[in-house]
Amino acid sequence: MKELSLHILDIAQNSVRANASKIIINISENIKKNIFQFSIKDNGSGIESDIFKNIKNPFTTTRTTRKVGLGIPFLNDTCRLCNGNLLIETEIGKGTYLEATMEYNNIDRPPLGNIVSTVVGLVISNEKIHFVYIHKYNEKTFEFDVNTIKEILDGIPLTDFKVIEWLENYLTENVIQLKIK
Amino acid sequence: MNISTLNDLLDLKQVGGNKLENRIVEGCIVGDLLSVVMGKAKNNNIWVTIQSHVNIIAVASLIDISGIIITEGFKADVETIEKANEENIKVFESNLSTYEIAKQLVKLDI
Repeated sequence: MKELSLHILDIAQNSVRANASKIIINISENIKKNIFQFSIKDNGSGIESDIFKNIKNPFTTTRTTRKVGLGIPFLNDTCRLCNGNLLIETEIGKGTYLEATMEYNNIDRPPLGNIVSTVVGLVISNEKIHFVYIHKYNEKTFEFDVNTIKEILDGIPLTDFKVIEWLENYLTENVIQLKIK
Repeated sequence: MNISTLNDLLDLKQVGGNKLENRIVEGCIVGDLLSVVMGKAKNNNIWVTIQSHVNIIAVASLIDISGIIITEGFKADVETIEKANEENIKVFESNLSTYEIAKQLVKLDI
């Protein structure tokens, strides 16, 4: 995929399909240590062992419409290409943790891309899920918890046009702020 | 054109899908980013790429292309060849560059 945010979207959608009620997306850009890392943690159903043992193989999938699943194999490939690795831990009934690590300055590392659209898209299309988005840039951290927003909104749906617009601006501004010294 | 004629004309080395029926080649897709190829390739295209990982077979099996040419002297992984045989995907290797292969395909009117 051209952008890492598309990988994040793809993996988070796995969590949605696993009936997670809470999904934590954590992005860490550590330029000093030359590490780009993101993780997605959910409290979904977990991955069964016969699927899990071959999870990085493209011919492993839970899809019933076709026999090939490429989300994790593509991401695994990207990590390896960028001298990093992909770690996945899962427990049935407890959830799944996925952590992708890459060299920050690797020439083959795709850009993060539009992470704001990814997060907003996930949040508004899954209103019942408790999303937390944490973005670190060197020592600075921005944390967004959708439940805090829901409390303030007091019943106004997240899909309200003005809410979406506000979310996009709020996240964009904070992500930009992270990178300003 | 069918794929075995193409194989002879381009002097490729076939490494996977040896026992398969002869397929027709119509058009070509060039690309190393698998997700993009997945979205853009058409049936019966020949796919020219430097990628040699088993993921190329997964992509090829989804889009029903006629074959894959791995260029620039890259070698298909063992797992790639195994899966190519299982999934009926013809895989070739060439020492030529992607550009050279593409030029020859143009000459052959593909």
